[in-house]
Amino acid sequence: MAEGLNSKTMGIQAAENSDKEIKKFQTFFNRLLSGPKPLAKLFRTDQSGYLYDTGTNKIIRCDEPIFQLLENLLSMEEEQAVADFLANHDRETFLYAAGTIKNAIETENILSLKQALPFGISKHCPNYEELIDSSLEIMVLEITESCPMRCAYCVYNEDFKGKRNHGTNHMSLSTAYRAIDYLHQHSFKRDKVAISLYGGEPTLQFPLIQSCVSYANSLLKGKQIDLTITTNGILLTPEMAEFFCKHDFNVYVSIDGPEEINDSYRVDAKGGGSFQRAVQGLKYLVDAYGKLSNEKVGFSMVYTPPFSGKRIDRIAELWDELPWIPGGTNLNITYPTPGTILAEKVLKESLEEDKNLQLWSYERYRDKYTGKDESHPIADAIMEKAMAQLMQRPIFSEPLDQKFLNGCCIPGVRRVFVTADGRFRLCEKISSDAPLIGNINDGIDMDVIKKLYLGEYESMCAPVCSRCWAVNLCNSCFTEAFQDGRLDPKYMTNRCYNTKKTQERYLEYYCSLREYKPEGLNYLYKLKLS
Amino acid sequence: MKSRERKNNGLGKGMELIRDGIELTGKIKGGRRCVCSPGGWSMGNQLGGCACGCFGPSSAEDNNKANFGIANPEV
Repeated sequence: MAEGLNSKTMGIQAAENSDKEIKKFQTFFNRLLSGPKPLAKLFRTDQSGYLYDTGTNKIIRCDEPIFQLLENLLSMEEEQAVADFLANHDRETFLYAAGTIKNAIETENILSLKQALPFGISKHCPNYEELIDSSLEIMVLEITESCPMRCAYCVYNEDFKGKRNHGTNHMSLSTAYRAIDYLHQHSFKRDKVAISLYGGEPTLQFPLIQSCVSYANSLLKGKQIDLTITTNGILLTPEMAEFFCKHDFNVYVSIDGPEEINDSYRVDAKGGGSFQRAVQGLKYLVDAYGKLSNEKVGFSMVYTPPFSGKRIDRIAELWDELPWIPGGTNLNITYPTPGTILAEKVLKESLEEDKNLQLWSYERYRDKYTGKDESHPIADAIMEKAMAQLMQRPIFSEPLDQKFLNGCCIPGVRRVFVTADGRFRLCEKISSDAPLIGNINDGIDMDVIKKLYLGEYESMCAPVCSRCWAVNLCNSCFTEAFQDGRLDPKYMTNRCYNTKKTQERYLEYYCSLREYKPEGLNYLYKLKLS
Repeated sequence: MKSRERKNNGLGKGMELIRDGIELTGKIKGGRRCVCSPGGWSMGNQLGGCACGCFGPSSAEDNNKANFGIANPEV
C-alpha cells in the first residue's frame, strides 16, 4: 500500500517536474519569439526537414519532432504552438524537441532576426556617389535599334508597352566614342572593365563595332577590357567571326532550340525562319574560336510555349543534332518577358511552368550527380548557377546589423546602358519608360538616382523585403519594379511570390543533392557567378 | 580553427548544421552583400575586386585572417 502511494507520489512529482520544464521552455519561447516571427523558412526533402535561417544564412537539418515543433512555433502563438504539439506528442518528445531547439538558438544564434533593418543601398553603401564617379564596371552600347528579325516574344514589338518599338536609329560614331570616354573617365579605380554590344542587331553596324574596339583599346590602354556581343547570328560572316575571336569577344547567339522550335518564334520580318542562318553564323564562330568555343561562345535561349517537359526534352536535343556546338556554362535560358504577346499565358502559367524548367533541370542534374546519366548543358547551366549561389553564400556567426536591397546593383556602378541616341538607362533590361539616369553630355543624373532609384525604391521595398525570409537569397531588382514608367509595388510583389517559390525549391534541391553526396557540390565553390 | 571544419557546435543529435557556404566567424568587419553584382552574394566575379566592399573571396579571406589568422581553407 505504502509502496503504491510512493509510486503514485513519484509519478505526481515527475509530472510536476515535467510541467515545470514545459513551463520553462514556454517562457523561453515566449521571450524569444513573441511579436513578429523570426525570419526563417522550413522546407522538406524526401528524407528530412530543414530550417533555413535568414539572419545567419545557415541551413540546419531537423529530425521530425523538432521540425514539427519549429513549424508550430513559426506559425502560431507560442502557447498555442506548445499546446498543439503536446496534443500530438508525449511530454518526453516535447522536452527533447524544445531542448534541442533552445540549444540551437543559443549556440548557433539562429531565429534571432525578426526584421532586416536598416535596409537599402544608401544605408549600407553611403559612398555610392564616389563609386558612381570612379568604379563603373560595364558599358552596354545599343549599337543600333534596327533588327532584321521580328521574334514573336520581342520586347521591341509594337504590342509590348514597356520598351521602345522596333526602330531604325543607329548609334553614331561620335556617340559611341563619347560613351567610351565616359567609361574611361568613370572607371579609374578599376583594372578591368567590360563593354557589351547590344541592339537591335549589332552586327548590322559591323564597321562601328570595329571602330569602337579600336578606340576602346587605345583609350583604355592598361586596363583589361572584356568584350561581349549578343547577336541573332544570322548576319555573321567568317570575317566577323575572325574579328570577334581576335579581340577575345564573348559572343552570345540567340537560338531557342531545334529548327521547328526556334522558327516557331524566331522569324524575320517576312515571317521566314532563322534557324539555318543562325546555325551557319554559329558555325563560323565555332570554326574561328576552335577549342575556345566552349568558353567564349554561348547561347541566349528563350523557353517558349507550349511549356512542357516534352518540349524541354526536345530543346535539349539541339546538342544531339548539332554535336559540334558548344556546351559549357555559357548558356542563359529564360522565359519570355512578361508583358510580351505571351504575357497572360506566361503569367498565368509561370509558377507551374517554372517548376517544369526548374524541375526538369534538377532531375537531369540529379541523375548526373548520382551517376545515372550524363550531364546536359541546359540542366548544368541552370542548376550549377543556382547551387553555386547557395554554396557560396556567406554564413554569419550572428545576424548582421544591416540588410541589403534585394538583388539590386548600385545604379551607375555595375553598368550603364547607352541608347543609340546617347541617353543613359540603368541597364538593357529595364523598361524604356523608366526614368533615364543621364546622358553622354551631362553624365549621370545623381538626383534621379538618389530620389527615385534609391529613395523611393527603398521606401517601397523596405516594408516587404525587411520582413521576407528570402531577403538574402533574392535576385529581384529595379527591372521588376517599374510598370508604365512608375514604381509599382503591386507589380513587384507579384514577382516576389515566384522568386520565393523558386528559392524554396532550390533549397530543397540543394539539400536533396547533399543528402546523396554531402561533398558532391564542393566544386561549385570555384564557379564564377555573373 | 578552420572555420568550415568546426564541430556541430553542441547541437543535439536531432539537428545537424549543414557545413557549407563561406563561413565568417567572429566579428564581421565591414562585409556586406554584394550590390555591384545583382543576384546574390556573388563570389569571384568582381572585375578588379568588388567596389562595394562585399564578401568577395578576398574580403572573406581577409575577414577570417583578421579574426583567426587563417584564410578560408577550401575556397
